[in-house]
Amino acid sequence: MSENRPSFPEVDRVIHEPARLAILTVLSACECADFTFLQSATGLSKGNLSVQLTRLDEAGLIFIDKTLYRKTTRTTVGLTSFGKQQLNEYWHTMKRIQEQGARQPG
Amino acid sequence: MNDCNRLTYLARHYYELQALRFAPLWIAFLAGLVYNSVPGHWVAQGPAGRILPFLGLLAVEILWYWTTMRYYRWRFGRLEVNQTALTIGFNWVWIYFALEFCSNKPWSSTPWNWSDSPWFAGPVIAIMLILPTFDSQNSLARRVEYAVGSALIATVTTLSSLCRWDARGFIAITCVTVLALGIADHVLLMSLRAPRREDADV
Repeated sequence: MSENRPSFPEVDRVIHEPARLAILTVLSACECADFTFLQSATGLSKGNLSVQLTRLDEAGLIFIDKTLYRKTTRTTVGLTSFGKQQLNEYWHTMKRIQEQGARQPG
Repeated sequence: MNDCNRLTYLARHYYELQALRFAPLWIAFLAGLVYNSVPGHWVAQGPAGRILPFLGLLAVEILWYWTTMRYYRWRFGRLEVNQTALTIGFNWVWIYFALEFCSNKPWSSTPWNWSDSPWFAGPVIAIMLILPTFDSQNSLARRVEYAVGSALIATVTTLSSLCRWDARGFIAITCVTVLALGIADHVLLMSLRAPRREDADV
């Protein structure tokens, strides 16, 4: 049974999660964005966005820059070169899976 | 537009869709047109009388620009992009200068004299407005809106030149068109905000 199962390429689980993919998609289209922009673009709550950013930062996909501005912390987030490379790789993998799926009989 | 395209489009066109920042310029021209149509209207005399409306408009525009910038930052946040912010601002400012050229007094924001033909400004503005039509990332609706706007301006320019009209009709059509396009872009920007979601795998 398992021998007949098609073997799809492995996808990066950190990137594959919808909320994190949404964050990375925004960041791939700009130099960097602040926390408010990411929140309004992705629709995530503050806590949730914060957790996802920490995960992406730990994976080395993004950089987080915190500066103090008028007694408030301004958080700026951008994609690292490793992050750009991994995201491109992720899209290539997805494309390969799509092509492979289209070739499957039935 | 799927979610991925929406996010990419929003990040790439964020500043371009903030065309309402230049609204006072177009409203000032329309107000000038209306004022100019009033019989027996007062006309400013001397350099001070001529330059004061310009300085007043400049102050209003700067204040409005700063307020809308704060509004968008509060509503959407801040984004750093490579070139879009500068280029789109540049386009709208050039449309303003093209209109000033028609008003026969390049530095006067209140157009008193409408004798010039839009033979120069019309094609320039029409070309600027047709550019988003060729941007494949734009939705069909936005491409059509800009194509219609550009066609309107091209038509009124041609008619003005053929019928030897003064620039009033051209300026009115241009101001209404760019104002309408600015409002449409603002509505589009608002519609690109994501609905609140809690589906993330925390």
